[in-house]
Amino acid sequence: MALLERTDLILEREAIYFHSCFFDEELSQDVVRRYIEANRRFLAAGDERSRNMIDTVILHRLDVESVEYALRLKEKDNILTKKIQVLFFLIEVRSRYFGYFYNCENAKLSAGVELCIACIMTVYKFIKGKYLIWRYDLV
Amino acid sequence: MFKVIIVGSGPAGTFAAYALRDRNVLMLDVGMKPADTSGLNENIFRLRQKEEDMFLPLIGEDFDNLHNIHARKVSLKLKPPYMSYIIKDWEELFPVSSSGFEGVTSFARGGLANAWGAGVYRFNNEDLRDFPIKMSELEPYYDRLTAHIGISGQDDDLTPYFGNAQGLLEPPRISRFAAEFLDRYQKKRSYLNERGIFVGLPRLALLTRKHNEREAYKYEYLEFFKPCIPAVYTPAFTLDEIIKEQSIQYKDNYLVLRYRECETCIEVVAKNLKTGELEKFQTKKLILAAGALNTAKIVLRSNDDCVTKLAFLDNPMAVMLLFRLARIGSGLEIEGSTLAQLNIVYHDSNYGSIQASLYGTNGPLRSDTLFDLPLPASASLKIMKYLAQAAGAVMIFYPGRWREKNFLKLTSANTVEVRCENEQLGSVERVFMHAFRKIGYYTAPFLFQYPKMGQGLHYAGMLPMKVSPGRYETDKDGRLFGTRNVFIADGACFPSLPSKNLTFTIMANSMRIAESIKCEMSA
Repeated sequence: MALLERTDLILEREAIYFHSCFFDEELSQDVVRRYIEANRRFLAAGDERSRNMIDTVILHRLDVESVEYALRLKEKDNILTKKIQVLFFLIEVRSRYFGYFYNCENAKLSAGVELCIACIMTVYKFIKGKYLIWRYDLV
Repeated sequence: MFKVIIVGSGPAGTFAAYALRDRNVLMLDVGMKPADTSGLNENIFRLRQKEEDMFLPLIGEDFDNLHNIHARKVSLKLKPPYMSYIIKDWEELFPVSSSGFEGVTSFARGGLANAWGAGVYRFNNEDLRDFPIKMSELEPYYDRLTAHIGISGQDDDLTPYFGNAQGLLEPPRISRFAAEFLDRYQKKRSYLNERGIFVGLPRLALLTRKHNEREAYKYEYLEFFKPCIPAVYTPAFTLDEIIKEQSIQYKDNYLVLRYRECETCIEVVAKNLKTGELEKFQTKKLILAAGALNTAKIVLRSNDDCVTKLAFLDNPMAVMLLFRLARIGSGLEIEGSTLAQLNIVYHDSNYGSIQASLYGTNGPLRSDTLFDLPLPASASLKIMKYLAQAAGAVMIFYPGRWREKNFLKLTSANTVEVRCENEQLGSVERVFMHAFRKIGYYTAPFLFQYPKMGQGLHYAGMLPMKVSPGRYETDKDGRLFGTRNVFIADGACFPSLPSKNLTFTIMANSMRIAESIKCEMSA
């Protein structure tokens, strides 16, 4: 029982940290609860190296987006990508996040600016992710 | 004793039953049913903006929509919570050991057609080249089905390929992306036609006005999340009708395992899934319409044959993303459909006619494909947000041809082994890439995707119709070689797969087979 509670606490911390790396919203307790449940059901069994990798990312508050991106380019089905994808699914179905996923008005100018920034960030995140993986021996 | 037993309730089973109603017919079916979908009765985007939390209808209490994160990947349309019944328990009911095969089967009432794209295309004589029948023999059934189902479309550049446009309902509204594509095609028509490319509106089993008590389509983008939308036809509607009229007997929760033909009748052995008991049913005639894979399994099992390798056909698929740069940043179209917006036909010297369909990108949840892009998550989010209305997906179905390496066989453990290999594709995509650039639509080879064999969900060819059938082949009326009264009515009896959705022809052909059985019974 104590172990289960500890795992839940770890998963809760994980959800809150991952979420904060992508969104400026307060994470709903419903999403946290579902994140824990989904992890328990589908992503529970990970090897020790994967668990250590997640722990290191959270402990050192590393840029999870950079690490995930660099990892995904190397191995598509890695545990970090799966966890973040679960979180994205859980928040996408909430109205508060609709604007993050859909553009409802014509916004050509801001689209151009945002897409240019996204291109630059892609290069930056790739280099940063590679560096963090090497620096913290994540793989 | 029944006069006819029909196994399965997909397009083939339903229309065999429809043709044979009031003839002492029993349909045996597993018959998984959809859950109550009353929470999804409005436009999906309006609901998602209005309702604080759409977890239950879009992800599901059991996290159905997370399926592809932790299990073998299935079509995005088969995993949302209200849709997942279509493939519920399929791996337990139809265990498959496979190599290169990524398909599924369905044990739902109405079968896989509950999640189809509603494309209804008549096979022409070119498509029926390997069949022992001509288009003229299917035409009367296509016409009856058109009147029964309600099909929208119009007479346009694709009529020579799609056939008779009579009796069609007016076409549905299409997205601005597709409308602009069609407009630009019209302007460069001669250039594209010279290169063998023709574009037009799809023929869809979609009601644009009220028809046979079913309401017109409301452009709510619900097809990925809600089954049995009245305006989008599925065979389950016809089945419900004939069951309600009591013109056939329907028993669900039965998994047919095998049959045995004797002098006076056919004995069908089915497992009652509620009790676990094996039960026997007797009939004069048996129509196997359990879906091509399952029908092939029943036949092999009835012959205790773990040796023979039966042909396995599916349409190899290619998907290419297409962009219209001028539409970047356009706002979301709240009203629309996830069904095909346009059809593209290309006449290829190697493959013959190739059909492609243009779809929008607003169907599934964005999280489904967000991590498939080779970009960091927040960049993918921005790309999807601002590029979705500037993008379309062209899905190309190549013809399914017989290849020795692709086969299906029964194992000694009564499971099915499917082996298939992806074909080397790419020629049509490259032709499209160059041609569409001329009309302002761009793509690149890194945006081409090739789903694994089986994901096309167009299975056929195991027990093909032949003029002079041999073992594990059928005659032109679907009668299985070596039997007197066992008939194959689903895709298993198709000797080849043209580059067209086969469902409409499965319906027409099973009606044709059932009509010939009816004549035989009357005689």
